[in-house]
Amino acid sequence: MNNADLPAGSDRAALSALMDGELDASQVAAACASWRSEGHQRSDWHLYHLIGDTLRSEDLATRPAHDDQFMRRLRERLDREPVVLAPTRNDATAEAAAAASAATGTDGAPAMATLAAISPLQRRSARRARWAVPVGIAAGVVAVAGVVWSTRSDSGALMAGRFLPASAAASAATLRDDRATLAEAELSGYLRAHREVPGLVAPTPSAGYLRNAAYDAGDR
Amino acid sequence: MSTDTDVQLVERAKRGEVHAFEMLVVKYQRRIERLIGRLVRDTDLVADVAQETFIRAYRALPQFRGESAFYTWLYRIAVNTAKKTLADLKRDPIITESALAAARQDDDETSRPEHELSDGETPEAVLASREIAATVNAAIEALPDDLRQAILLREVEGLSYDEIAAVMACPIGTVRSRIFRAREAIAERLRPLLDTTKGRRW
Repeated sequence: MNNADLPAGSDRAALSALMDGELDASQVAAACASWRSEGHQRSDWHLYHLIGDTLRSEDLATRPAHDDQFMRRLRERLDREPVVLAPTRNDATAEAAAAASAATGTDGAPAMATLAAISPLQRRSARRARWAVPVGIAAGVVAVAGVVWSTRSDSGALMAGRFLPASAAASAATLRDDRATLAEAELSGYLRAHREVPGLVAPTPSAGYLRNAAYDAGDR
Repeated sequence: MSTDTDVQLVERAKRGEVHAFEMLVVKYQRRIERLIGRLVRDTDLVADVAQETFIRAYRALPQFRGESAFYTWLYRIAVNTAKKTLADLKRDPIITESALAAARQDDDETSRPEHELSDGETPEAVLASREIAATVNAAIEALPDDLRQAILLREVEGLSYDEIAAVMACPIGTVRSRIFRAREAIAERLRPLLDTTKGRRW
């Protein structure tokens, strides 16, 4: 495409070509990036489309202030939505299902929309439920360990023999699957938070012991 | 019209670029609101149903396979969101007095409850819309012939740059330039009408 006729550095010209589907992928990326960062680009994008709509039908000549307000309101709602991330690899089953629902015509669209509206939330709550149990158990173990420590603090040497070395605890943490790794991260954050409360739990060496106990409890 | 753009923007939105979806919203919001306005009639509800339509579309985006045009898909979601809203309103009449009266249409005009004019139908809004249409039309009339022809072939006839280049017997770069210059000439006349401070919009 010949850009020689256009004003130098005109991002408006790029927007104009973008809305006509006449930009290649890299140019689209640049135009989208500037749309995101530049208020005047958003304003021009709106204005160009308002012009197109008005040329096609005068009853689409809505007030820009209304459109502006609409977009602001929608943006607030979009901010609360989980970010859309469609899988890039081909999942044959999911694609077939999506194609089937897309092909069902008028009634297919809302069903599909509703399904998609629910699923991210369900995924989230399922994930939350999965963590709630081990973290809850860990909290219980921390409390019990705190009590044990305070009642047996006079026999520190005896207790020390029962603590796992830090390296053993670390290697224990790397076993199992990704969930265990994530649990490790989550639990250590939790334990660190509680360790910062003076007198609530045992000092640092017991952290390995506590983590280990938490996994044992979770496996039972 | 310009479905290539939609495909590109949908793909970007699917990869987590919310602003690409916003670009599609800006493009289609007026058409979707007009469509919903014909189904729902209560102007107070039109923007709400349109908002819901775009939220549902955003959530369903991972399932959009591009087998139909994006607008066709969006159109279906809008129609079904409007139907669902009307059905909900019938079940829950307390919040729906004015909406139901509107849905009953004109068969009982005299007993239709009064409701405050909403944004879409205030005299000021109607006047502002007419002013925009008049300004666009005046700007089109004032354009040099080659610019006017280029933008009308694009926006009204829906031709691609290739096709316009063939019709106008000129290079494709010239088509691109003419369309852009036409848009800018019209936009220049519209900008003073925008009723908020330019820099603070959007």
